Amino acid sequence: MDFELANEYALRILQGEGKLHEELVTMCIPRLLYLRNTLGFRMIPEAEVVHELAADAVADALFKQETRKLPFTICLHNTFRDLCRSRKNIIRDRHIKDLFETNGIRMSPSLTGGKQPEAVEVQVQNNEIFQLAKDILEDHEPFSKKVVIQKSRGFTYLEMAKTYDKEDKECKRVYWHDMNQLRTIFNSKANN
Amino acid sequence: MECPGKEIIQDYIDGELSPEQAKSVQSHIQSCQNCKTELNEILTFHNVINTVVSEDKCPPLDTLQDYINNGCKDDNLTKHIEFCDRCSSYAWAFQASPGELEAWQKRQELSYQEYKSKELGYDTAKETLTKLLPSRIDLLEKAWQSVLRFVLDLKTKAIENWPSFEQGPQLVGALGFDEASDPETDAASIILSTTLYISQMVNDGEIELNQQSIETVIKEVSIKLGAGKQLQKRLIETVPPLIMKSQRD
Repeated sequence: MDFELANEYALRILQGEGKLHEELVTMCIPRLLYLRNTLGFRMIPEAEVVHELAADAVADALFKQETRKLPFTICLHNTFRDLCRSRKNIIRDRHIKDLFETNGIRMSPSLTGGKQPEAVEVQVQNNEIFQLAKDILEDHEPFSKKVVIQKSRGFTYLEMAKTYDKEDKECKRVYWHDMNQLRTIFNSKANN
Repeated sequence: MECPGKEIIQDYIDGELSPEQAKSVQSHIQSCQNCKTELNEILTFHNVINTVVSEDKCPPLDTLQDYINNGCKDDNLTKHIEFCDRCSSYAWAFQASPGELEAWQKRQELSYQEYKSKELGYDTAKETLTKLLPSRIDLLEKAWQSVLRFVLDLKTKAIENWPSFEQGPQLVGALGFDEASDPETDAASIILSTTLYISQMVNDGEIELNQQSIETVIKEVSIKLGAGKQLQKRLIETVPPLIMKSQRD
């Protein structure tokens, strides 16, 4: 993707040259695939980026460019990352749901992200669990807390590695170490 | 099967195992009560954390922009931005000067070009090695990083100023194969390095994209790297069409 040309096309589209839209999407695809690969979103199929996410990202980036008065390329970059994270979370939730099912684990629907209504006493119990987890997270060491929160928001280890200037393996290690530590604290408090 | 280690369980939950590995872990878990309990606890805790984190929703971009325009006075938002890289990158863009935005774009463009050039070089080098020395395709992954470093170094210093590489073992040594300097490894190193070198030069606009220019550089580089006449001839037959095809695509 030629950044200058993409910015120019975006401006012309916003000035009414709608026929350039499709050309701009095609032009952006290699760049979006590059972001997908280098930011660790390979779990999103390439075809999905080409046939779905690219058009969504360009449309949203054009809208942001108009409303936020920012260059198209930075809007595209941020928008595409948002889309990938949200897509990654959908894939993650589906994967975890599959893990529950395939391993024959049963638990409260609201704890598995379900929306079915539950008995009042179960809701109260779950709210207590959430509050306890919130408190434990609140007291946690800042960098580790950041890693846990970002991972939960859909960031990849590679994204975190770039932001914090660390190796992706280290971010993964910190994340799992902290999840295990938080889980131990959570279990001991929940059992008391 | 023994109980899988912690890292395997983590990769299983992250969805990073191959389908075969995942299947074998899964079949173990179904027959091992300890692992089942452990997995249950981990998954439950994951969901609890995901629910808690998702309650702290990112603010709409309008709110974020107002916050920046009004001098970042909202403590709750400051706290959120501190822990949310997504919002902090939008906040940065909202308050960046045109010069900063331009510098960001230049950096992005540069790393994108570098990546593209490496990808193209990799594909062409792989295809060349597959055609010329399929029995040593295993050297591709093993040598790739050192080939890349070697070629970038070679390019920076310019081939004519580079010490003579007419002896194979020297090149093989530079690529980390000093203990295995057999003729096939030498040839594979020359194939990979020459192809990547040419591909990078074309991509960087240092030579023109035509048969004759590419041939000239192949002769120059492959001789320096120690290629025999037969290998030179085969490189000249194979590399230019591949490079021209990859650049057209």
